[in-house]
Amino acid sequence: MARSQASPHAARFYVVLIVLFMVGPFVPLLVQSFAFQWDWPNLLPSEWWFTARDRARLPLGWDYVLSPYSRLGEAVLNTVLIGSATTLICLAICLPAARVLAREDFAGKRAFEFYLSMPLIVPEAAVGLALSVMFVRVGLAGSYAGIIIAHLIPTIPYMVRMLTAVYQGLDRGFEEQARVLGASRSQALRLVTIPMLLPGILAGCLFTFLVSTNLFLLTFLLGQGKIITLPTLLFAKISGGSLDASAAGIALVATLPGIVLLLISERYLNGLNQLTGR
Amino acid sequence: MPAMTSVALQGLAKSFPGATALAGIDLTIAPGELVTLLGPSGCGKSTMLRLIAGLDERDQGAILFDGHDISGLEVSERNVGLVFQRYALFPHMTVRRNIAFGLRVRGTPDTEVNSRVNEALDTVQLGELGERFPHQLSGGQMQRVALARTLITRPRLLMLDEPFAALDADLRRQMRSFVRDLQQRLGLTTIFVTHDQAEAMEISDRIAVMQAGRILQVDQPETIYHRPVSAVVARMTGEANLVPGSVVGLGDALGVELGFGPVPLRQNGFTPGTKVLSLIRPEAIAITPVDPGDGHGAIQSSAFMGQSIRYSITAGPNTFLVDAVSTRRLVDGQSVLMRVDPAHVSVFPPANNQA
Repeated sequence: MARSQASPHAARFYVVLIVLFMVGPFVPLLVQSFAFQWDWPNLLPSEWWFTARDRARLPLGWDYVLSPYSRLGEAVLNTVLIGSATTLICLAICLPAARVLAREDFAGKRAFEFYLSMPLIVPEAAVGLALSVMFVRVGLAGSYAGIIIAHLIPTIPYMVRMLTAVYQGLDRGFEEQARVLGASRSQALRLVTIPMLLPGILAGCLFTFLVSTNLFLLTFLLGQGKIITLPTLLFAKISGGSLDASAAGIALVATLPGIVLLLISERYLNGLNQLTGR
Repeated sequence: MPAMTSVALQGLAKSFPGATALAGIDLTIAPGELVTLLGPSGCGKSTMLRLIAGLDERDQGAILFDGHDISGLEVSERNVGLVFQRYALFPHMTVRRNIAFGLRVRGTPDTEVNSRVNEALDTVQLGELGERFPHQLSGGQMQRVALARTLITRPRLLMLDEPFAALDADLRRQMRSFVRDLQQRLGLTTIFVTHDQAEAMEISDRIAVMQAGRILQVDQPETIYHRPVSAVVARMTGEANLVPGSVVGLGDALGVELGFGPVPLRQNGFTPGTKVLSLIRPEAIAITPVDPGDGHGAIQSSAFMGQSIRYSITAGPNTFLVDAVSTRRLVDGQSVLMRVDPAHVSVFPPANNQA
């Protein structure tokens, strides 16, 4: 008790520290996105983008970011589309797999679990190059399907692990009770198991989506420049080595899907937990 | 009210890798009868329920409901009720939705579901709590919801797996009589599982005493208690004095030596000299305080149990537990005469003595 009396100041200190640590890196990015000229050692830009607007022949800063030239809209759409599809397919593959891994014992289970982690060990570049060679031959290169398949490779290990843990935490008794009460297998799954797994499923989906929306190399190699997403757009923009205002703007936009999703799921999970008292 | 169903298990057997859970169970349950499976954990009681419900696959044998084998049916088609020890209430559903579950999955129309849920809530006296979630209920309330959720489907056979294990003693007694009442009122054929012999005695029409995947004896509680078929059953069904001794001749008849004089033998089929184990329940021995030297034995210790006092008395080579009414407590070292009604002595042949 004595500790908690003394702690509010300390707690506030740590909160401030954490916020600085998390938000801090975004500040220069934000400033940069409004800068036209910002040289070392100036604390702030010597010229802002909007004052230079009239002199420039091309759109600058946010003008560029929000113009059709930036292809930002297309990139956002592709990112969300590929992320969502990857997440759904990944869930459909991993949910049954996790159920078996959590509940059954079979020969070679440990080896299989290790095998599932392989994509985390093998470098993305190696996977991406190998896949691009194969996909060119089978005509999947530069297609959405190709990119989604590639995105499944690094996301499945995470999803399977998370869902296995969630499944292990769920007593079989609930499903058995549902069956005894007259529910068919699919009714038991739909009405009892999945709702009870929902917090874990959402967390797994969130994670998968975030991983997918951040994958650059696989997307870049398999998109063949035909399909652009936020990471490939950003890399194309900064690969010259300079971080100008419009690149900073795109970088900021690239963080949005994750943040928005995190906020939504946080609220949803809170509501869910209050409902069931967990 | 559901039509009463008779249940018969024939040669039901089940092994798990490395262990035999059930070794050929034969058991017949009359319509509307409550049979208790009594035995230590791991004796196969729960496995039996799971086989009947279809949650585990039997290796051999048949499960007959009204003479028809149901062992080929899916779990959801057997229409049995199974209440788990920990209730397994669905945490994401309100009490009402929990209770309605069995009807909803059968596609029962909403209006009928509603009226039957109301009826079920009244039956288990939980009318007010329909909109609560399971985590907002007490243990006894959860138990009632679990019961209502099962009863609403009008099961042909109700199975209760240690349903009161998680409740405290007071609530346990209450729920016992509540369940027994309900079961009799609805005429439900019921299998009740417990390891608590007092609970089994109180609630059952018949008790099946189980050990290591076998049924040792099936009988009415009185018979099980007073006329167990073996020392093992005697021990499992209450406090028991099991006294080694030999059969002796008593004039024309036979008797058994107990350490406080021979007692006429009620059972036949023994020859003098046979080593046997005699069962005498603690309350079947009457004691009278006498002067030192005149008694059969002396009180070693005593414990006050409320309605009775449990004495530990040494007589000859044996030590007996004796329950006597508690109005007057005898002191340790008191010499006592001991008497037992021969009708309350059972002896077991040596073959039955291992336990």
